[in-house]
Amino acid sequence: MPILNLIKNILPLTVLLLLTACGEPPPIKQNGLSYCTEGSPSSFNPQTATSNVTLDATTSQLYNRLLFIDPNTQQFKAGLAIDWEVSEDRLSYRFFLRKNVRFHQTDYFTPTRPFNADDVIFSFARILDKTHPYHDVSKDGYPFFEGIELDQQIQSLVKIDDYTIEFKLALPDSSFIANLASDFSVILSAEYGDTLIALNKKADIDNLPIGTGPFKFKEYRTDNFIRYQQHADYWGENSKIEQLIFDITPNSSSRLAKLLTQECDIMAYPAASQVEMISEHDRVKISVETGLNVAYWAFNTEKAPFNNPKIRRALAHTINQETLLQAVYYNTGVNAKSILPPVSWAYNPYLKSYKYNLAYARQLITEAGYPNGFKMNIMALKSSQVYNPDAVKMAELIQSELAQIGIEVKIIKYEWQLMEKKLQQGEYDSYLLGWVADNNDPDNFFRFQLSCNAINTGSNYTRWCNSEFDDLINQAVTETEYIERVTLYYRAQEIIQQELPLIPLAHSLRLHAYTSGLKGVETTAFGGINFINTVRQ
Amino acid sequence: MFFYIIRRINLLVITVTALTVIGFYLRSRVPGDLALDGNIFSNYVDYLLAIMQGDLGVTSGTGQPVLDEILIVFPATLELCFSAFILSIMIGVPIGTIAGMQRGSSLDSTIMGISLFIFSIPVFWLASLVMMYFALNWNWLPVTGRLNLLYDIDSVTGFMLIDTLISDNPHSQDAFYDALKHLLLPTIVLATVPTTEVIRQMRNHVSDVMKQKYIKAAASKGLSKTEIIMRHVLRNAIPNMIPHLGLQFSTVLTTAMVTEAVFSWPGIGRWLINSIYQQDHAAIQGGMLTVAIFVVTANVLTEILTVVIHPIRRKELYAQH
Repeated sequence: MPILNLIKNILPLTVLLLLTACGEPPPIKQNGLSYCTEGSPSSFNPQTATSNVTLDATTSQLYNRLLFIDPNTQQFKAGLAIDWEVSEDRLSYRFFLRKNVRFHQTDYFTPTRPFNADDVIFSFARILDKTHPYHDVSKDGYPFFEGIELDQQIQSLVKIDDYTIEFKLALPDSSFIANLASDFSVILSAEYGDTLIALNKKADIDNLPIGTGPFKFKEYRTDNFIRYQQHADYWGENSKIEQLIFDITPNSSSRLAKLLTQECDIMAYPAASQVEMISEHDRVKISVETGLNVAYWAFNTEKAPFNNPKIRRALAHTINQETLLQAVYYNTGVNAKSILPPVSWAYNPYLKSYKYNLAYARQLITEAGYPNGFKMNIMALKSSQVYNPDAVKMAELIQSELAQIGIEVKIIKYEWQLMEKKLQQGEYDSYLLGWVADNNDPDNFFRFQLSCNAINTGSNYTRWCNSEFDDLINQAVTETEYIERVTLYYRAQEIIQQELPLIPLAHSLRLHAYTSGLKGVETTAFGGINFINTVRQ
Repeated sequence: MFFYIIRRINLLVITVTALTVIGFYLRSRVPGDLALDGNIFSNYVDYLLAIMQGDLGVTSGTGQPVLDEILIVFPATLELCFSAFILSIMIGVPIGTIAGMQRGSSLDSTIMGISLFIFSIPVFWLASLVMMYFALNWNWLPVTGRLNLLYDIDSVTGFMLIDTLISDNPHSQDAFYDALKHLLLPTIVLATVPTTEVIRQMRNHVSDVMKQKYIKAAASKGLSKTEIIMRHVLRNAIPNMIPHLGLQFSTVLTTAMVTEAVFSWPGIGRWLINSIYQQDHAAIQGGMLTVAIFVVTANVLTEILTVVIHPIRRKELYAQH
């Protein structure tokens, strides 16, 4: 029977297929690593970007910075600068550069010289100098550097010799060095820049990257994948991985499926609801760390009764942080005592949180002159944010607690544009919002949201002004002694704790799921992932 | 025969012209893509000349020429469609033959019942189901994509099975098996609907042939059942299947788009869906034009093929037209 023959032929083929399907992962896996990321990078140059996706895909893989922040100790460590000196007046920063650092050699560029001071000048002049040939090549500008007004901060950049460079500042500013260590301050190749000008292909500088990082660019297929290869001439210890893939998979269920079937070794941002399922699998693990973010409940401190710190403290006692973490964060957050997250070097661990105690809260409210309670509103954002997956649900939980002590709460849900307008007009009692840090300098958390000056510039929506607090953060930014700065920020956090213009609620965790046996995946709290020390065991 | 082919080609030209008009309308909505002046006819002629030279515009998403992107994604779709087609024929022809030879029997009813049941399963649901069991629960097969991305295989033909075999990558054999594994689940899902169709058509054609007098004659000559099937039944039934398969192709291509979306298969379906999300008119018109021209051409070619290998059919067609 030919039909039987046909079946006879198909059967072994199917069995063969299934058998090969059950087999061990192919040997290529030993030298390669695949990271399932949530989106496509907007460019291959972090100077021009703001999104975490872009920073993850570029900063630590392709480039180096003059210095960087150690993810474990939070101290500055030498990168392309082996050492640095700050002048007495704190206006000059002199960097001594590393020698024999090679740029990537690729299909599209072959460097003829190692990294030197010209490359540092090129990288920063591009951002600062509006007449620089590359300044306008970035369509989106340089959002981070424009935000911190780097052009106001840096007066000049001087090449002392090939391996020494000096930044001259307009005013002393301790956050300057943190900004140079941020994920955005990468060093590009000046020689590559010159080559592209000669070829009339300037835009390639951000699309076909050349850096000094541990991996070099091989291929990018939009919305599909990025392929990097090991940079064999790397100045530091070479990565154990020969090939690094960024598998672009926006859907978190697909990312999880790829992780479970070992198509991916690491999965970015599992959804909070997936965490339980992932932890049931032996072959995958979850890494959890606090993000540099905070979610809080803030008050209009110019408006009665919220102008009374006693009322604000009373409200702090109505918050059940454990319930919030379970119901809103699915346990993918940690409770907050300070506006600074615990991973920040200036975090004050001695702060005591306000205990959940409705009876005491009621007593405080009575003492403050409101024995019958009052009516208030809470503004909450409709959409989920990095620091708060569901502000409306959070508002509802607070509402039910407050109802028990006679405070009637109205929840007003807004999209951000409308809420921002209301905040600027001062038409509110309280609001649920948060903050995600751009760098690890604590100033980034305090000044913008709580300084007296920020009331005038329109970003301090609590309208809280405290001269002691202001003095402390101003002093901290001009202080260079690490211990002194820490002490000042500790005190600043204590003031917030006593005065409570806002009640810190939670810090959302940054999650990664990865194949067990993988070691050395480094993540930083404000974004950025680094695979240089990753090994498969 | 000559006139028949001319007629078919005529139909092809008219259909393609109609498609280019739609494509022209879509492309005219892309600001700055076509130099538009007052005269719509000269604009249309310019557009035709441009697409004949392979200029389908530039995508707004990546800034790459539309044709370049289509040349990357379309072979992936064709590879999936062809393998699904082959699988549906491999399964459908024997089962359909068995059902057709025993028309009216309980076996026939069972086969037809099961194939009707399978036909009614929504593709996206089936896709999710096989993904859940084969990939996530049992860990047998990969769920998404065409190849583990760690295999760095250069695209030469665009067909992964061929590219992995001709690649000089030291892991090319592993890559081939990996590509095969990736192909398996989407192929099974995509093959379900055409398989039921092949079974149904094959059954009908076989039972028609079985009623013919020459079968009775063959049986009375003492030919075994196998010989009857091989010499007479299949030889007469299979050519009748070809036009049906041609028509099936457009259905398969449409189903492939859904399958691609579920399995993240990097084909034209997923690419078009992304283009629609991004309102990338240049990409939409380019993709639409390519798929439509491909389907129309495939249909016309199968019809021509049918009359070439099956002269009786030619007579029918002459009588019809």
